[in-house]
Amino acid sequence: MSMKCAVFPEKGGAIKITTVPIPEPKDGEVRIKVMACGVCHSDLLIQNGYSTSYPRIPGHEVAGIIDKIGKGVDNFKVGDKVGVGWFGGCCHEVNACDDDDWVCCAKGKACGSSYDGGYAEYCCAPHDALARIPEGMSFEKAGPLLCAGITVFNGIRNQHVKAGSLVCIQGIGGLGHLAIQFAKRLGYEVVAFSSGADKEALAIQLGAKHYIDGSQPDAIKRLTKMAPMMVVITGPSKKAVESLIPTIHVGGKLLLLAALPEPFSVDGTALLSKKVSIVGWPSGDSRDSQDTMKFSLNNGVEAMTETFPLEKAVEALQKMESGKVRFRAVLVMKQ
Amino acid sequence: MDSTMRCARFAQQNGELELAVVPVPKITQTNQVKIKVYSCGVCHSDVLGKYGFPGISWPRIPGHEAVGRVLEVGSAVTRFKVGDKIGVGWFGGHCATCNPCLDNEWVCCQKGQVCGIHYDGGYAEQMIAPEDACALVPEELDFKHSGPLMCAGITVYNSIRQQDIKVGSLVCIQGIGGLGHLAIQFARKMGYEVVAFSGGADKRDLALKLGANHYIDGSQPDAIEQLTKLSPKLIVTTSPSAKAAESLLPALATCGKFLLLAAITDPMNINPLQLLLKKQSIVGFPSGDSRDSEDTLKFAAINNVQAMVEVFPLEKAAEALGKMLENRIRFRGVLSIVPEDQL
Repeated sequence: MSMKCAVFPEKGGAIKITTVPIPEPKDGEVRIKVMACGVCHSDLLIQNGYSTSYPRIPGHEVAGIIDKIGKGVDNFKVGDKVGVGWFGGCCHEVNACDDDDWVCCAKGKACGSSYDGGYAEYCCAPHDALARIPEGMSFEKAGPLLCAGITVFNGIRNQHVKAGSLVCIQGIGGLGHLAIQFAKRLGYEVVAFSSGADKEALAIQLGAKHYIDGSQPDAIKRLTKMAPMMVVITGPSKKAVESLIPTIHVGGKLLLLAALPEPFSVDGTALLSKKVSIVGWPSGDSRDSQDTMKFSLNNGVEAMTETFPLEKAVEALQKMESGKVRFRAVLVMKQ
Repeated sequence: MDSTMRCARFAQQNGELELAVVPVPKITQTNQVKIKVYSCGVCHSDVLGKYGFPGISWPRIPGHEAVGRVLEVGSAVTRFKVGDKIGVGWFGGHCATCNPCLDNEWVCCQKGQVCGIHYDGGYAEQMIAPEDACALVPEELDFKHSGPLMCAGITVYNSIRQQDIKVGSLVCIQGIGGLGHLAIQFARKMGYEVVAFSGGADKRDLALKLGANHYIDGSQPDAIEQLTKLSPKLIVTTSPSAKAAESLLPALATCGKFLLLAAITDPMNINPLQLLLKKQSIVGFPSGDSRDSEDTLKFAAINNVQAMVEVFPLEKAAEALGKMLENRIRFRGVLSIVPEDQL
């Protein structure tokens, strides 16, 4: 039996639609009939070498229904609605796992990188990578929460910044448009920071109380006056990181969620004198995914999506790469 | 009482430290405390008194590791009385009304005073400080060794204890100098496993004697590899070198913290992917206030943490400063304002 999928045939190769055998779940795994899969910027990393082997089906915002259970899986059954994010399973043996840091497991797997992911009609994943999709949430809306959503929600909630504080969300894209919503629902006063005036109305609608157009010459001065307790970096810009650190309130944090491709420069004395921290946070595991989806459903946080059929995966990737998607592309599979 | 006193001071910006005889300071505000200074530690940041710092004026008597006894108190002072053994560190007073103060971050007060910068400090027979800048010193700590705890000590103790690193974790102390030699002691006594990291093999025995469980000679080609294998949960940088800091970051454990204590003036280049994928933080921490000083002194007294000092009479202040800048002091210079046998 075969299935349609979109695959990177070799490192650096363009994605192409093809047909492959339907995979069988190994011990400890389940097979998911994929209903939707979000398109994430990191899918391009997979194209450019971040994969254990090729050909590789990418996709780590997988949402679907379990259609087969592998040996040794007791906590899920056929028919369960589940999702898989970047966290694709871990060993539960080494130090990081001992410390409950599944995401940092040295032997950890990433869905769509260590094994074939959700740009396909079927996808197999280890049971510890599965997150239950709450009743009432569509697959199309669940997908983006499994990477973009969890990255901002889990990152922000773990910084323990007191409710009511001013939080700055830098970048309004796949991550940023969700970050504004989550930050507002988590009880923060939100200032959205993005280049250009065109996203202001939307930012306010999503829950920001303030908006600063980063392209204006007085942008940094204005933000410094507001002194956010936390600046959340969602757009991978070195310039943004370097220019925003000085705006942070005494004792505040810069939360780095976007994978900047190059080193950034830090003034140690500035950090020291204002007791500021720079924190990196790598998304979360399946337990955090469940929390993310539940919180979203309970608090009306929703991804703004643009759907493409699986066959149009090429166009979806291109549009995502060009920055034109408002705000998350999602592949939906024919039923 | 004498109306003049001996001191060492910077007469003008960029001037050399000179000895002088000046009028004894007088209490002018009700919240002030007058201190007979017994000793004062020599700290690297004393040179800011020479080169400049926002809000400074000259002539300026430096010194922010001052310890002595209360001579007189203003009418509004409630925490101290004549004869009390007290100390003053970098934190020289706060306004209590600005946002950082309201957030309890006195050290970051927008109108914050620095002892030895905004007002004359401890390189003198007497000094005046606001009550909130003063910390009570336990009697069992002698004047000879307690000065350095007022800046070097609080800087390492207060910052490390506030990082919430689980007891028993491995902590790396980078740099064995004025801060580092105290950091090793404090970290060990706080219950951490300590690896000391310093260039050269000569400080190995001392590091182990001070309480380090491991020592890595940073000049060896495999130094970073060795440190990475040990995987410290906290790296405490005490030497003001951007390059040293950058080179250590890769060795930090997952979920680890990189604590910046030294005023690194060159920009550091940080690898964002490592921070992100390994869930790490870089934390800047500015010493502490007088309440933290009291905690530091108490901890040192209970746990036998002691600075290794080299004593100079006040008259040799310039020599002490020079030797400290050349990194030749093992490990903290202390000016004896009173005769050394009275310390």
